[in-house]
Amino acid sequence: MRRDSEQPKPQLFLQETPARPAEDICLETRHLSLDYQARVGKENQTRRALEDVSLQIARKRVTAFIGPSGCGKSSLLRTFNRMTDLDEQSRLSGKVLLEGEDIHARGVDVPMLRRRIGMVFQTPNPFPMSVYENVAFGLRLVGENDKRHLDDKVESCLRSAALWEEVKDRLHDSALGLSGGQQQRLVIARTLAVEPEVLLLDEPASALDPISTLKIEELIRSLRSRLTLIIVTHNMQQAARVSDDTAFLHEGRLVEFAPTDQLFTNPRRRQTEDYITGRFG
Amino acid sequence: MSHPDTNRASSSLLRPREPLVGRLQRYWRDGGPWGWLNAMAVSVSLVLVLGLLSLLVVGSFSHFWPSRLVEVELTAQPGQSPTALTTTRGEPAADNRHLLGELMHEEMRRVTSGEGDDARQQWWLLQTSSRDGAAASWQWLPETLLDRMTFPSQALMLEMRDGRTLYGMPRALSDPMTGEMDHTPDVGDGPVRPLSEDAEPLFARLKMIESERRQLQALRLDSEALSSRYQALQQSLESRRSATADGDPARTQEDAELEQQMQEELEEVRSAFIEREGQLSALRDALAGGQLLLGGNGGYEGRIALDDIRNAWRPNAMGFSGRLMMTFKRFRDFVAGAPTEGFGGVWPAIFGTVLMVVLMSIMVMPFGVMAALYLHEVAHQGRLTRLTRIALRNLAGVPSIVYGVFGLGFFVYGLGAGIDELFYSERLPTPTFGTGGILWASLTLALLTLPVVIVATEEGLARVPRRLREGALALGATRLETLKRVVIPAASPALMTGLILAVARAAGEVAPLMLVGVVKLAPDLPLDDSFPWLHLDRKFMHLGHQVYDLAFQSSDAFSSRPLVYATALVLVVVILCLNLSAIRLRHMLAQRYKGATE
Repeated sequence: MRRDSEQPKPQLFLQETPARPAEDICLETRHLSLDYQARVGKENQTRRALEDVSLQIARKRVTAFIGPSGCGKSSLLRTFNRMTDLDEQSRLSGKVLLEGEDIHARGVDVPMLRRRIGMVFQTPNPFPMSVYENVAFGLRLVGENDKRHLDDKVESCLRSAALWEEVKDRLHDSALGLSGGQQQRLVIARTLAVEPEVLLLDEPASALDPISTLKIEELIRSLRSRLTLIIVTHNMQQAARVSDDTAFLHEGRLVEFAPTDQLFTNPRRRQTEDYITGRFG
Repeated sequence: MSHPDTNRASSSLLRPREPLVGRLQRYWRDGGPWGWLNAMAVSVSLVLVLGLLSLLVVGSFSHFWPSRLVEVELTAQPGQSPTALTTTRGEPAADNRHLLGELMHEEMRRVTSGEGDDARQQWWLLQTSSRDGAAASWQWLPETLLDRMTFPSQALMLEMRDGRTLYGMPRALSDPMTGEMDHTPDVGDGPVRPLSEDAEPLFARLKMIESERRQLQALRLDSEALSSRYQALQQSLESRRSATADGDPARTQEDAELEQQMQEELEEVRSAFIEREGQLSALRDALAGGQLLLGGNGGYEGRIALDDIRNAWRPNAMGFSGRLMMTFKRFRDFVAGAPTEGFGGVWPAIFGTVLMVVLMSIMVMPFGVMAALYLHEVAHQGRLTRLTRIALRNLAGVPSIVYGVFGLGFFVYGLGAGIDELFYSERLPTPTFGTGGILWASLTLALLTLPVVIVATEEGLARVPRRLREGALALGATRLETLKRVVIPAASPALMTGLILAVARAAGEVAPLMLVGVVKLAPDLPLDDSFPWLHLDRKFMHLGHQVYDLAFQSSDAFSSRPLVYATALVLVVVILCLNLSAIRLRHMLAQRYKGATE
């Protein structure tokens, strides 16, 4: 890392990102920078998590963010559904556009935004309720209490998340009794229930065993036809397996963003090549 | 030739033998002595707790366990009549040589005679009929005064409904159905049965009285119901008559028939009522008629209405199981009974304690939880919140009497007086809320336990993991919805911990309560069947205060001491029950949200 910082900083070339017609773009960032205050000893220091990131994410495709730890890929993901709001100390500049609308503008209905952009976290976080109530949670939030409708929705979401066959006999048992992989698929089902347009996955399989990881990856591929998926992963094989486009981030900057085949077989930047061939990171 | 495996075995994990000093050093370094020290601390605490409990149990059950009744014969000393054996009016007793009572205590005393040589002498403490005109309650008797001790099997111990205990020999029983017993002390006359040999008729009669009293109660309720029904019928009949007055063209044949029916029904109810009343008065007469002639100390005989006797025992004639039964019956009477002028039951005190704790919980939980939510979830975390936390933790350490003074000054004299002026001005200068009451006592205790609840709740909120909040927020929940649906349920076991700590602290408090509404004797419970059922302005009784009162304010030390133990035992059991129910609730919640805070 230290050796790397001595090299000249990579320049950002917007033209390197896949060129797309404007109507295919779902989510777009423009010159996005994120600073946050960190307490080091007794002093507050400003750390830059993202610097001047601009990229365009295509609709109904799987986009993967890869990069070494601390490169800002998770922070970038969290700006998409304004999870960064939770950190009082963070400051953001630049724009994030969802279907052309600035989501960080004043007057944005944040709960509404988060229903349109769902998120799945690294550790499975089912609520301490029954499997059924977990899936129905988002629906109950918008005032849906009709039993029949809820039943249908819960079943279809669990089927979409490939979990129905495993839990249909214990819908009313605690969700905390499921295995880690099942919990993560339950969380995905719970997120699907509010019908998001975009699904953010923050290292969704890093806490799971290989078989559960495989199931999650299959699920991601099957969901591609329905919504836009963005996945953060530190596992390059996973990115290569599931994604259509891949962005490589390093030290808060977007180094390269290209279709996955191209990025892994023929990277344009040396840093990218070094990273994917395992020379650093 | 050695195998490789045997080679390895020779360089085993076992240490070579060390000298004793080295072993001791290692024992010290490994923390062996600390383990023993810690175990000792635990055992000392356990022994203390068990010792306390067994002291309470033994101390209280020695009171309920019947001791034998003894009849002592005093030595007749020429020219000296024992002063104890005069009546309260100062007249010399007719028979001043026999005393009947309960042997409470014996001790050795050192007596110095005129020549300066010490002698040891045994003294007995005898409890004779307490609060009875015939003799004093307590007698210290030296062995020199005693001639003979006997344990008459027919000796009676009577527990009266007014709380007195009487001792005596049964002499005669008047026949209940023929009414009065004649007033001559001669027992042989009239409808009186001598009882010198066998008191069985007395017990049979007492059993009958018990059932008669139940019957009386049922009859009374019955006749009250009849009377109100009679009034209602009369009223509806009258209103009907005035509506369809005579000569009214609307008055039809059917109306007249209906009225006739109602009139008949009225007559039926009336006759039933009269019949009940007749039964009632007959039963009352029967109850009032029975009398027992009891031979007491000093040769006096007293007449006792059988209806006034709550329990009658013959301790000297009872076997072990009988004594055990008697112990439990007396303990039950103590726990479930109402207080009397003497020492009665503690039921109102149990009720007051529990009700006060429940009211306190209802007040403190919403306030404490809301305050903790604000501090932990809403407020900006800075210097001010830190100061508030420090202040709260210090508030938990303020002595409780200070809260009592605050409660008296602010709630009773401030708020209470204000409420009286606004809403109860017609009753002034008699205060309604402007004096201590269960409302102010509960509020004072709620204030006292507020810091505990806030601190426990905040700790619970801090243990709810961030990923649960983020999960809810990411689904589009607002901050309030996240709190309501995810965070508070996951923190609810911690809320219960706060409640347990609050209940444990509040139930044991006495000092502040004495200032804000607890009294020694309050026959009216704060919860009853008269509107508005819960009387928040009433003063109430409290077990802790009963203990204090019996221990320090009683003039009758020997009979109040076991009651102190018994009341304290009941208090401990009540607190234990309150805590156990809260712990059960917490366990249920923790089971439900298991794993949420890991």
